[in-house]
Amino acid sequence: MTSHSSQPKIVILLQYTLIIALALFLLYLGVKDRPNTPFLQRQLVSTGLISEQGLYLQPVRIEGHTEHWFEPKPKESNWILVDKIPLGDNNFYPVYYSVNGFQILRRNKTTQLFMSHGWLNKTSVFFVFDTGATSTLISDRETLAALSPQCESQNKTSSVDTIYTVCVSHLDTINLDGFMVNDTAEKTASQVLSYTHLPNWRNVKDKNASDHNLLGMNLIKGFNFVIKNKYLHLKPSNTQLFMVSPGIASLELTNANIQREYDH
Amino acid sequence: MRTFNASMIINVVLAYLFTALATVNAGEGFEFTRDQGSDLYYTGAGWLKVSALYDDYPDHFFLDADIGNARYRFVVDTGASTVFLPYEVAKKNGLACNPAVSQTASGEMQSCTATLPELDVSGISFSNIQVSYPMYPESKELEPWPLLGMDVLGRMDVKYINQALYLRPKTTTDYAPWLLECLRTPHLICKDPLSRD
Repeated sequence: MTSHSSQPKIVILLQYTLIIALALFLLYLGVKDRPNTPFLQRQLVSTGLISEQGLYLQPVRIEGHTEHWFEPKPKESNWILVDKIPLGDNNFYPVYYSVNGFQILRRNKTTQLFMSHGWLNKTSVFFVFDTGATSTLISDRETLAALSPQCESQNKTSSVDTIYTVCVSHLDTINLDGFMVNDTAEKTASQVLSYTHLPNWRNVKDKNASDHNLLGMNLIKGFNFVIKNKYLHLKPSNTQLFMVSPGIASLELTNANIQREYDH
Repeated sequence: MRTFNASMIINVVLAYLFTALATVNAGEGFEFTRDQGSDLYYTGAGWLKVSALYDDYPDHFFLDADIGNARYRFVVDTGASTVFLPYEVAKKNGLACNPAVSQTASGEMQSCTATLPELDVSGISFSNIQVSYPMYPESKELEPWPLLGMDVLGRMDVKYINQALYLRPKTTTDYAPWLLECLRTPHLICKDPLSRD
């Protein structure tokens, strides 16, 4: 023996309508009560560098004061993800800035050295951040092939175990993920927009030859930096050798505006 | 029940010392003349100011560090993973050799690693430092600088502001005893370990 529902269709329809209305009402309450609702629709990064999709501000209380974090956020930080450099196989190198406009460099887990990334004449290059290097050195063969260096002059240089000759070549542009060479400064062209490399880089067959690129003091001297908590915080100094790209400048400005708006 | 241990008390005393001396010097810092190596300058907040000492290397930073009873001039090098010593310095200090391969700007190099029991970096003291040095003597024309690499720099706070470099230990207990003694003296006369007096 089986039983059959005797409810008329109109009652079933009313029940569904009630459930849907209740769900919508609860959703409305949830959104209404979110503390960051006023900022949800805000365009946080308008120009310049690519921003992570779906970012929004979330006020967080940290040690007695309010900070504004962007989602998705790295753990325990107020960094902003402004770009992702493709590494292949769906891997990315994330470019983070602090809300104060400092670029955050991280240490390579194997070498424990700070890594930097930039665009030399629109070629993507990874560097070791090296205060011991007088000039920027490019050793990676693929990078050199893309840059097609002209070897405009030659210098003697040394590493810890040998003295060797390097070529000096010049670049049109440098963009260290948001920090660009200010080519209006007179001294810039010769000092900053240059790099060194081995004269015979095309013929290097030694598998033990270095393929590391070094970000040298000719570029580092254009910045202030602070090493704290295992990270290096980098920002152009008053030397005017580097300028901040519009995307990063607007990021800092937007954050300042939002901070003021929220605090009042 | 709250407990106080010796290191907490030492930290408080050291912090007081720096604060008191900073007050005496109105935030100007402390400059020490030394018999050997370069003079030292500490800010009132305990930062060691590292200077560019040579006209030929205007953008590089050098500081003196003591190994045993000798003082050596180091380059501050964020491009070196560890402290690097020239062959002669390593041998003079009787360092052991654990064979290794080091990556340098010019390629791979046969090297040794060893542990340095004590390194006094211009008044900031570290123990059990991992160092590397070439397995074979360098050519005589090379004369490489010792390098202060990330192993040691990572144990300090580092800031480079308007082309001046500052270093400070993460904990006040890393200030060398002789430096603290130096700071305690009323006229800031420094008796560093290699003083001739």
